[in-house]
Amino acid sequence: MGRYALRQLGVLLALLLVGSFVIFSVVELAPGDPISALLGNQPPSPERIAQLNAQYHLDQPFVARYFLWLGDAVRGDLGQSIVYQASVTALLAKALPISLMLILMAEFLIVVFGVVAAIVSARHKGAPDTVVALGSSLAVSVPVFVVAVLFSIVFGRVLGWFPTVGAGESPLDSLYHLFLPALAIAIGASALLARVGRSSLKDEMESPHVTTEVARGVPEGRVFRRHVLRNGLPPMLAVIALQVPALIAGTVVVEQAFNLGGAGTLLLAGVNAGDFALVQAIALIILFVTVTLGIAVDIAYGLLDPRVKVGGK
Amino acid sequence: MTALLEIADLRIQLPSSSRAVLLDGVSLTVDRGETLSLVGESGSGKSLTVRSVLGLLPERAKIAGEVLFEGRSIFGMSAEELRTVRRQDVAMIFQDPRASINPVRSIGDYLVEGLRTSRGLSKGEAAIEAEGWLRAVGLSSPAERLNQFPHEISGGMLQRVMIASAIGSGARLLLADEPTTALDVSIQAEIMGVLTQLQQSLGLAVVFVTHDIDLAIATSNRIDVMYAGRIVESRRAEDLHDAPWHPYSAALIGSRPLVSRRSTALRAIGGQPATADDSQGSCAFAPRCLYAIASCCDSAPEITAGSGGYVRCFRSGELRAELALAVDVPSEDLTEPESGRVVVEVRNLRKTFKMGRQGGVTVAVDDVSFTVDSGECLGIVGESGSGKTTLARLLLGIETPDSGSVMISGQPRGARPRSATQRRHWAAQLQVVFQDPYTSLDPRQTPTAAVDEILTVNSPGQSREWRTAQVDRLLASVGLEGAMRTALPSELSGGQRQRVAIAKALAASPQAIILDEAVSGLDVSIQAQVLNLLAELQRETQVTYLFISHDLAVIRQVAHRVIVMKDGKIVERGLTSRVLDSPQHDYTQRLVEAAPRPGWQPPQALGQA
Amino acid sequence: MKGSGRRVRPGILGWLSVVILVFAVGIAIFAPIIAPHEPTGGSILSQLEPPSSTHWLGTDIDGNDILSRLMHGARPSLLGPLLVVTLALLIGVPLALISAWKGGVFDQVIGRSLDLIFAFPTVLIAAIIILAIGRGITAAIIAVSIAYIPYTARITRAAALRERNKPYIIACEVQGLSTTRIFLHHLLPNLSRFLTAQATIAFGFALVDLAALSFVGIGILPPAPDWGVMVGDTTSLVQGSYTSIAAAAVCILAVVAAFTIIGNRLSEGTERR
Repeated sequence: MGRYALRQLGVLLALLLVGSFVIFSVVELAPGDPISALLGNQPPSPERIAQLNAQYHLDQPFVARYFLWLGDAVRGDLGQSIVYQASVTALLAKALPISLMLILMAEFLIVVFGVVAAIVSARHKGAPDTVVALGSSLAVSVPVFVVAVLFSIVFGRVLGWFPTVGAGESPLDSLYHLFLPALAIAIGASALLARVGRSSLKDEMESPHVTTEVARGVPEGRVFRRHVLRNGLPPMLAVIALQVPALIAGTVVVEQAFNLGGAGTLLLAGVNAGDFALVQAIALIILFVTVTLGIAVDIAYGLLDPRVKVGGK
Repeated sequence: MTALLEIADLRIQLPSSSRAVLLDGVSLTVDRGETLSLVGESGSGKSLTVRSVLGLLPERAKIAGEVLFEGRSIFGMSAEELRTVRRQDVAMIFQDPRASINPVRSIGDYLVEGLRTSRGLSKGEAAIEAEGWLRAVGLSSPAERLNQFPHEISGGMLQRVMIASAIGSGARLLLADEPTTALDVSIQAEIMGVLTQLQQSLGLAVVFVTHDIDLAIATSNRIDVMYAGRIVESRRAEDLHDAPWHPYSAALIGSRPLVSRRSTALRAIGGQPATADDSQGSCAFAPRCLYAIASCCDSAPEITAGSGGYVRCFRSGELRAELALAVDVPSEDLTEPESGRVVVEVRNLRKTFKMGRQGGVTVAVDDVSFTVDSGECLGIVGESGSGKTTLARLLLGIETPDSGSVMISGQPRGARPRSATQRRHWAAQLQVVFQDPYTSLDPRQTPTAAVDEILTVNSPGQSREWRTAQVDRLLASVGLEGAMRTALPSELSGGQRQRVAIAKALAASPQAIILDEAVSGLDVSIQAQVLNLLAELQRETQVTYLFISHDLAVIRQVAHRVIVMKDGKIVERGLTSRVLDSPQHDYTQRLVEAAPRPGWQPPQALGQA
Repeated sequence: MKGSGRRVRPGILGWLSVVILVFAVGIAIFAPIIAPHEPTGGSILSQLEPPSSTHWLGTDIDGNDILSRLMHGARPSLLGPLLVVTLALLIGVPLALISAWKGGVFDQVIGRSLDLIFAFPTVLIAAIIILAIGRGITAAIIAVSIAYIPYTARITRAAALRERNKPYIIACEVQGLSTTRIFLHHLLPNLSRFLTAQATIAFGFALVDLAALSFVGIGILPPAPDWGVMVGDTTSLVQGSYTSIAAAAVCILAVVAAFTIIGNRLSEGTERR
């Protein structure tokens, strides 16, 4: 196990290095010289140029610049944002909790809806199964932004049940403010989870080892819990992991639709203003989250299924 | 006293339109302590019959008739009563132990869960008992096994674990659904030994489902032969082999090869197995029966009872003598063909594979040398892990050897050929037919198109007319006629697909063909057709065969000479009749002794595994 | 087509989906001819008119005819995903086939690189591309295509590996067929149905992803007519005029659902044979 974990850690570091390098190189790819690209449309004041020179170590060769930039980022110095005229770290300290809470709420709804629907569908053939099958196959294709806007119109503006702007002041207020946005994200994603879960549980129910348990007189509920659910879990876990990037994309969209002022809002503002520092910082954080989660799921897979040779493959 | 198990006129039908009738009036009884075998080919309904005893039926199936356990109707029971029967009275073991035991739970979990549900033991008691039952089925170091996972032990051991759980429940009836089909023959003998011994010491009744009539005769008191969802003959085991009453039983006996002697020609049954559905109101076997008369197709025969059994055949009375003669197949060993030139020469071949990242190495093929002459058939025999499949891949150039050489027609086989010219060159030397007829053909190609493509590639200069004539000749030579030639593989049966594969192999006009378990996936009656076809083709074309098989009886039927492989090495070689009649090496002796044949008994000592 | 023997049963939903798609494509092609008005350049004088015989769906906040904007909006909404799917297939499929065929280090490197791209949400890829080349439809299409290459390559590689390990492909090699011939005559045809199904499903998702970029203001830029732009019209939202937003939303929902349903019908039976 130790060896395996070490190897995975190595992969993680390699992916982070390559990924961050790509993110960094964007400045180089931009047309014109880096300074004018970094300046965007702000006046080229000498202080600003000096600041950019320091931030991006423009006097150094390319590869050295990358490592200096990465070192700063690791130490928590993510540079200055042009649009907001503030340190990126400070901006993110305010915005990230909103996005994080939104993601966690959405993930909670996804898992609850998805897993419950899958179990209902697998255990109750006939009408419930048909409803889940049809409902999930349609809901899977429902775009987050369309749902977000429709929710905001119907439940926010027309019916007035939920706020349509802002992320709330207190934690409880946030829960209220973020409910519709989280639900908008969760609908399509939970439908996908329900579909995969449904077919995975059904496959398990038809597998010979489940027949063995039924033939030994093990009660149905126990067979389902110990043999169907337990064995059908890994594919669901894989879907949850694969959905993380889409979930983040959904957050960006929903933050825009409900004007939440999270990291997604910062990202869009950064893109529109050509604010390299801001976009790169958010990109780095997203990269870190998705890559780490991916590796964590790989390890969880190994723990769930003894056949996955820990240390092999 | 009521019988332990009685099945009365059981009919099972699916609501859908295709293949709706699965069982068509099955009746049987099993007494306490008795072993009954259900014998038949795939699709005969034997497996479904035993499953019905536990109420394991297809969803929405329409059921008529009765299954009575100790006089109580299984179908009339409440869910709780049925569960009690499953827990305490009737136990079942399945064909593929690896698929039939939850792979993510430990062996201990599996046994403890069974013991707790069947006997209401506490966790601690169950764990202690589990160890005892593992010892009873002959597993070494049972305490450690409890903590192992299914993928960490062999299939044979896993089947012992399933048996331990079954008998540990205290059941009086054991249903065994092809429990050894997925296992090597030497393991099969051990498992059957364990089963018969436990059955005798515990006084268990057993219903044993198998396609192997010799295995059935050796291990049971009575045999019910099934065909197309009906029992066509029910006999005492010792009576059936020499004097079958039903033409189908006779055909089953006459069509299977034996390890103890070689049949001059197998009595293959023509045509394809029927289903209960397409034979309503007639004898299902009539279309394939050598003795069928008009009335066989007009109505279904009723039971004719005789001493110690019954049969469903209109002509059973008049046919008895004829059938007894029919199963007495004359035997004759193959004579070595006139020594031709050497086609395949293998010298000191060695191939290793790295295992995992720890750098462990398995030797798949170890210092193997042999030659094969033109027109000869060399049998390559071994169990799983013997290296015979790797050997085939080395010969085909799919794998590259670590050392040693493969010469085909005097030319050294190098690395895997990449260029088209190289591939064409080797195609004319060596061809292959694989085991699984369902994946070895392109699902989008008809037989005609498949053969034509090979001709196009390998004989580029020839005209379209020439190719059409060749396609016609090749498909005719493997017995594919009419609509079969333009059917997609999905519309062909396993045996027909294997004929296509053989035609494709012949299309490149190779010096030699590797037959890699080429008949192992087929039912005996179809297997006999293909074996006879292969023998005929060899007589006509003098093509060389390398016949890889785990089945000694098949090897005896086709091979002039044989090499026996174990752990990558050749442990014995020689004329097939010599090797199989008087094996010299311990391992060959064990293999030969493990192969079921008339008069065979499973080893009685509890083998340790 | 002499296919793999399985017939597709579209069912009512399937047929409905086909009708929706044919209709949408027809409108996209003939939008300039059949649209009653220009999609842009409306006058403030005619803003927010209710439905009438001249403006069937009324006019939007800029005074443009909503129906005409929907019709013209069908063009980028359908053309964008078409480009994305084509690019993703053209790059992803060969990459996957070579990767599956060669195996070894090549396969590993390709696999890991694709995993890395996979870790980036589409909107982030778009953000990075836009920083490099500026906002607009080109950046959006490049971004979504890059996001779809790993997806396409992954599923194609898995399917190709399943197929490649079947004995009939090895038999082809032994029977003297060249690698090119095996690829073109055996491997690809047997993957074609799977690929068609996956491309159809991907088309729907690409439409959504492109529209989402337009929605957040970094794809197609207003006032150009596009369904995503129309749904993302914040000014209308705040002012409480929902007609154009709802109409575009319905178009997106219907077309995406149609692609998904057809894709699912096509893929039935192609997986885990």
